[in-house]
Amino acid sequence: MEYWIWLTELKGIGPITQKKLLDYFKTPARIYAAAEEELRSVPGIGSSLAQSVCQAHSLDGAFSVMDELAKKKMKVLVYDDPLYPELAKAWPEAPIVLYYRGTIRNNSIGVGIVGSRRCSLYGKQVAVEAADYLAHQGIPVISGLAKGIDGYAHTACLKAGGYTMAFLGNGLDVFYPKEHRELQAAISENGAVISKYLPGTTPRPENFLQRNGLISSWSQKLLVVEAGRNSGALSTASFAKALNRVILAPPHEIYCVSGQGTNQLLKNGALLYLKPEQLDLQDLMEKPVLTRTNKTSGQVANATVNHSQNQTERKLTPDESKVHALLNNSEKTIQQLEVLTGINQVLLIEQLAIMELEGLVALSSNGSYCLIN
Amino acid sequence: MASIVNSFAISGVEAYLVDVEVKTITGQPLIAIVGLGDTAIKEARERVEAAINDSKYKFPQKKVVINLAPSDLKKSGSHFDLAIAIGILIETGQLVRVKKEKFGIIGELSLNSRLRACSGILPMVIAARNAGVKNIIVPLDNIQEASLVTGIQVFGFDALKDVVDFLEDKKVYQSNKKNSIAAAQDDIDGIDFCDVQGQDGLIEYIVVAAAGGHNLLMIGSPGCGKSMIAKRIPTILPSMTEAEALEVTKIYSVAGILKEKSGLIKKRPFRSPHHNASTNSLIGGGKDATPGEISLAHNGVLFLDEIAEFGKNTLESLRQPMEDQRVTISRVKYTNTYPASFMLVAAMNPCSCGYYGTERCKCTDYEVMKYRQKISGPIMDRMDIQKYVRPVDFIDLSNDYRGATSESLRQRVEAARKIQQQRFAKMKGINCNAQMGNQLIKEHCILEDDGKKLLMMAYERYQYSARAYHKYLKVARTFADMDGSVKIRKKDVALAIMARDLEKDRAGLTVL
Repeated sequence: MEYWIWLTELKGIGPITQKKLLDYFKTPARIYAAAEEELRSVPGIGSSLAQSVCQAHSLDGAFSVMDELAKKKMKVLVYDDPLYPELAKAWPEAPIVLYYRGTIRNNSIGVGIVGSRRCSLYGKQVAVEAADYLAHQGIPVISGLAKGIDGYAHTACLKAGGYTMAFLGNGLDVFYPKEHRELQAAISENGAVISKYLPGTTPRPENFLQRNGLISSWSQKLLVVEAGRNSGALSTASFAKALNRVILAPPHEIYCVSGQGTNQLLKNGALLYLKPEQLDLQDLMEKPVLTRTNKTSGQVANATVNHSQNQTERKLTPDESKVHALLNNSEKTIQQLEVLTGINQVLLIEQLAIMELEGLVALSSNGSYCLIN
Repeated sequence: MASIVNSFAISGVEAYLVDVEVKTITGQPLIAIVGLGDTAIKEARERVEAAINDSKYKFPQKKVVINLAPSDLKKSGSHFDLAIAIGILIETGQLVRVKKEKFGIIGELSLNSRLRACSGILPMVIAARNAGVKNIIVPLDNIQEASLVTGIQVFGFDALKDVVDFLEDKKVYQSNKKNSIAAAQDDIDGIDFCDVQGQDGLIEYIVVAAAGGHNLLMIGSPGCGKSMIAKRIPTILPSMTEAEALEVTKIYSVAGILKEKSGLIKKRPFRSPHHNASTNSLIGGGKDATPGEISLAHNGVLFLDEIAEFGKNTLESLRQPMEDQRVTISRVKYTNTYPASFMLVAAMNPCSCGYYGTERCKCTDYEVMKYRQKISGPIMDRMDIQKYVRPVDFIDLSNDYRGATSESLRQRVEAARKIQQQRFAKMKGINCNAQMGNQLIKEHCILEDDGKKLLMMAYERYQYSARAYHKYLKVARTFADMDGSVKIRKKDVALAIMARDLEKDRAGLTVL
């Protein structure tokens, strides 16, 4: 292990060169032991590189990293570990060492869900529905723990009891964004939080590019939920394209600024995403572990409560049926209902409270009531 | 023998009798005031000397020692001036008292020997009466305030000379109370609840909050009318009893903000400190441990606009006073206890951008949660009613629309309060439903069967804690009282369940 960390921390050598060396020597320990001449004989290794590898002959750094990892309860995933998915290795720049907290399950390749940090209600709805579906199918949800879409995808997956992996652009002990501290902890309990960066690494813009690559490499399909013209999610998509992964995107209004990136993806050949079933992975070994409950997809705000259960069969009072009829067309605020029914607000609240408890109507976050069918 | 005149000192909202002893001793001319006075008292020597000279009396060219007994208690204020001056005049034989009764003397002197109004008159006059002093001399400007106390004769004067003449019985006292200021008391600011349009549903909850003394939190986007509604809450509060009014006036008197108004405060106070208020300004404190906003809001409303922007420690410091309905401010040498029984009304935005629930809002659910967590659980817990204020779409309103007036709402509040007063008549310290403990809730919140069924349904549906369950019962109790119902009916429960929007909202967020 210490040799792996030594190798990955060598200055001037990236994943590609590291893999060349590994191909030749098979194990990092042999690279460590190799003489300068032997190193130079590896194709692609120049004399200066070989020299610097030989000069860095100390494992002190690697041991202190290992101490720190043990202290912080972080684990290491090395390139030849069977848990390191073959598909993820398709990315030439795939790191040879990854640090993680949690558990990496056998066959952790899944579906990536990415999108903008500042997302719309629509984007949230799409992300939550997709992640919820994947959780019930037993497919890992891969994302980047950023605000917005990423956060919703992880959260919805965890809430449905699924397995999710979060790839970070910083050390595992750095909490970024800080609102996601608890989410990060929850993911390491029911999934894995992974980073190629040493503990203590602060989030830097260039790190996130690498992280985006990791997300793509781990995803057989990538759902780009919402992306503006210059969104980071587009970089994830271009990695995925280079790796020949399936890219999906839901349609957005053409004037909608926050959907221009995804619409562009669609134009460039991404699959039009219309329903979560499109995210199924055919060759996935594990079959559905959970059965999907019957639920309305339209109401994100109430997605956690199962309404149909409470629905009692009873005859509506005249006032209630008036309200019911009005809500049939569209959702309405209490003021609108007051004007349309002529019933005063206090009485309406009373009726709506009872109807809400019985699971007939729901109050959405914008303050209007809608029917639940 | 030293000459002794009676005056008073303030401690908290109470006053106590102080003997002002004056003695002239042969020696170098100087004045020493002893008895732990503050700077204002130390400076009294200059004012007194100037005032005595101005009134054509002679200031003694001797050593003058003035002692404020009891000498081991700290005293503050400028109201000892008059007593000191009278004491000096008696001691030097320039004033020969003809009136032999015990007089209490309060007043600040100006350099040209006029009497200026002082703060804390009301508690001092009450202390005088309790100490058996039958007559009291106060500045003319304070006579309104002093006259609130019955069982004591109040004399108001304008100048030092008049006081001396009165004590020498050279002039007969002519009462010339100023009545002009009294009118300014009952100024209704021309605001009324009927100005608030299309929010009838919300107003119903505000009426209930006012009736049951429930703390209220309004959540809404900028400009939706939170402050407008809050400002109108005092217009529907029940009127104060005589005892309550006296309590409030006492606090204002001590705080020194009664000077201009004089007279009894009849309107319930409404205080709205800005969110950069320091902890001390809110709960009381400072050099003299003066009452803070929560005490100034005693028997009234404390309105915290943008409650999420208040300092965390400042907010947390409200917890204990809210529980005890009074606040004790401790300093090394003394502690002051001020009453602080107020209804807390707070307003906040639903998220950091302020537009949660609309297309404009781009806050993530975690950010929304983070923003709401600025208000700690214990404070949120004390908010019995948490309602969203939705902006009204004016297109929905018909033109002849007119909401209920404050007066009609106030009558409903009064009626509900009356029921509560009867209910808690035997209980000390409990005036309204909001103050019920678990035992009282069990005793007084009896549900009708279908009401119980509905509450159980909500209990399971929203997974309430036992504590929240009790909150709903309290609010439901007030709803029932509004209609004069003995038992809590189904509709009361339904309305109470809708009283805590934030709790329901929490279930809708995609957060862990």
